[in-house]
Amino acid sequence: MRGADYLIKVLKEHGVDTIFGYPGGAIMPVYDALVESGIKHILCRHEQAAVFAADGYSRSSSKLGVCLATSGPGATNLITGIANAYMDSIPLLAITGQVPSNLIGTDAFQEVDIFGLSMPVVKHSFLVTSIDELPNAIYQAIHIANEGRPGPVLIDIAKDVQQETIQGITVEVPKAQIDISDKETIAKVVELISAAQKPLFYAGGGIELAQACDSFAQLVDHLQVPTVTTLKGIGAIPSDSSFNLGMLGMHGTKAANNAVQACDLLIAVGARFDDRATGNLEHFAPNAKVIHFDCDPAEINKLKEVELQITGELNHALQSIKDASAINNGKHYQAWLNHCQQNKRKLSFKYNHPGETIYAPALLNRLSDITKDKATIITCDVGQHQMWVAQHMAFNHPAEHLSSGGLGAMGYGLPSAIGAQFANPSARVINVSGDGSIMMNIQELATLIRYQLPVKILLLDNQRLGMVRQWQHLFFENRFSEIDLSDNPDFSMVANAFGIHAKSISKADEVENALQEFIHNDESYLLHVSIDPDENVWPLVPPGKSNSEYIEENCS
Amino acid sequence: MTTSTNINIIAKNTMGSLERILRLLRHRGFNVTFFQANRCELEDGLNITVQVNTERESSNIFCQLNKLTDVVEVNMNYQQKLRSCLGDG
Repeated sequence: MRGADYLIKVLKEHGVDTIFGYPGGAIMPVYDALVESGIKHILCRHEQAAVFAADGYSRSSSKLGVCLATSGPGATNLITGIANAYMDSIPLLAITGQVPSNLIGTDAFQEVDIFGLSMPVVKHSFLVTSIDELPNAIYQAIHIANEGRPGPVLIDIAKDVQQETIQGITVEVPKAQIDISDKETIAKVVELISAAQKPLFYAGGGIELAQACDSFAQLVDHLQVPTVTTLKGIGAIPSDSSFNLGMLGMHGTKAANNAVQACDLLIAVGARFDDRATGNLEHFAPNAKVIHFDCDPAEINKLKEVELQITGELNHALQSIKDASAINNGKHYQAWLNHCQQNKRKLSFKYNHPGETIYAPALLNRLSDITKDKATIITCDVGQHQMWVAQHMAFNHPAEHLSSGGLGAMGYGLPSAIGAQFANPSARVINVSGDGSIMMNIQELATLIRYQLPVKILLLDNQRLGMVRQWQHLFFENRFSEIDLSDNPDFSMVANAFGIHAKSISKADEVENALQEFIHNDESYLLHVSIDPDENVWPLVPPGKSNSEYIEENCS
Repeated sequence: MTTSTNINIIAKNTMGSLERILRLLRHRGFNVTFFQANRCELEDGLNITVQVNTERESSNIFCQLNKLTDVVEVNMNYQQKLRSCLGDG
């Protein structure tokens, strides 16, 4: 058996049945081993799209995402996607071919030190230059990507190793270690929550990564503690839960940001106090003691001093707290809960926008309403539309909302939708994109057609790099620099050229019929929506300001 | 205020292990002023002594170093708040 065959065999043994990639010279033995392997290989049209697709596959299925590329430019094109997975803690295996081991370090054709290049954005990495090292590298890579706080792992395999016959395989199979919180720590958490007058959950993406959404939602219901979520925490409890105040942070809801500033106990669960969530950290939750649940000890006290930390397995910890707590802790924070819920109602978004033009928040809110009929996954790119999706669409689970959170990588949306559709063949998958972002991986329209994927694309076109324009408007005295995209191509014609149905709309009274046609079409479909170039995302906490200092439309 | 911290690290001598440690220190805002690495009793291991200057809080680097797959043990002369990585829970 060749090294390449062994790689495929071990991947199959670990349940990998779908790989996203792009072939080339240094990875050819692995592509040869894929033939008749039973693994489905999805040919994307750019390595960056392949790694984003593997990321979307993972986020929407909780499985390991796997991508494959050749050496040199193939490997360097993976970097943005690997960084994206690193920032959002996504379990991802990136496999690259490398030039033959005797040529490494000679500046050979398509030789790049991807092991060194990727070091800052991987959880761990392997450069395999000997067949004897291959088995442990593969087993360890899969283990490391999944265990604890997940993340991307790179295996760079020299071409001669892929071709060499493997003999006498001995593997150290890594063992999973589960850290369980002790009773004393659980009791301290219960005590702190019981003593609080204004407790608040701050829910992050770590809840879904720990597959603890059910435990979390049950605990929130049991304690009846109001909850705010991060961008990645959206769906950790259903958007329509009466305890859910919405997203916090720079574009968070007023109810969520007000609650954080007023709470006296902030219970962070799988969240990492990112600057977009906290605003000015010195003024973040100024009156609160902090309890922090995170499986990564390096996140504890990194940015915010905590009263108590819980690094044990999250499901166990949350269930133990529920079991040890009285319902609503005797209702002594009922007044706080009522106050938060009233704020949520009073400060909710309004959608009655005057004029004939299409108001993107209203359109997205309507899309959210009419897609409740079946399982729907929304993937986003990055910019204004991404924030509007987070603000105006409802989600019941984080795996329904795929968004490039930490890295903020434009071009993520379409490839991640492809990955999500492969992981969830019966789901309705919609990429909400912008006219800037869609052009970053527009070539993947060809992948939709090649695999006959019914992915929908809702393209919000303001002929601008909208978020950059908004910041230039607000913080650079309207000195607009390189944000004009008014020479965009005709996106409907572009879609048609790939063989994809498309429609363009520009008036509010066209929205309802267009959305119905969009979601009920059985094939891939691009709905091109022209929106007002001057529309901004509100509210907004200016950079460096406290979350209580949000500004709104009439302040601009 | 700049503080000086001594860090002792026991690490596996695997490909890139030194590079990962130095990269991490640099990226997290630590200026290396002394570095020494010797083979140690741990099979194919390294005993590394690093002195760093930083204006950052030193305790977090202890946790970050501990996260590296190749790192077996970290000791620092700066003992305050190390509980953040070692505490119960």
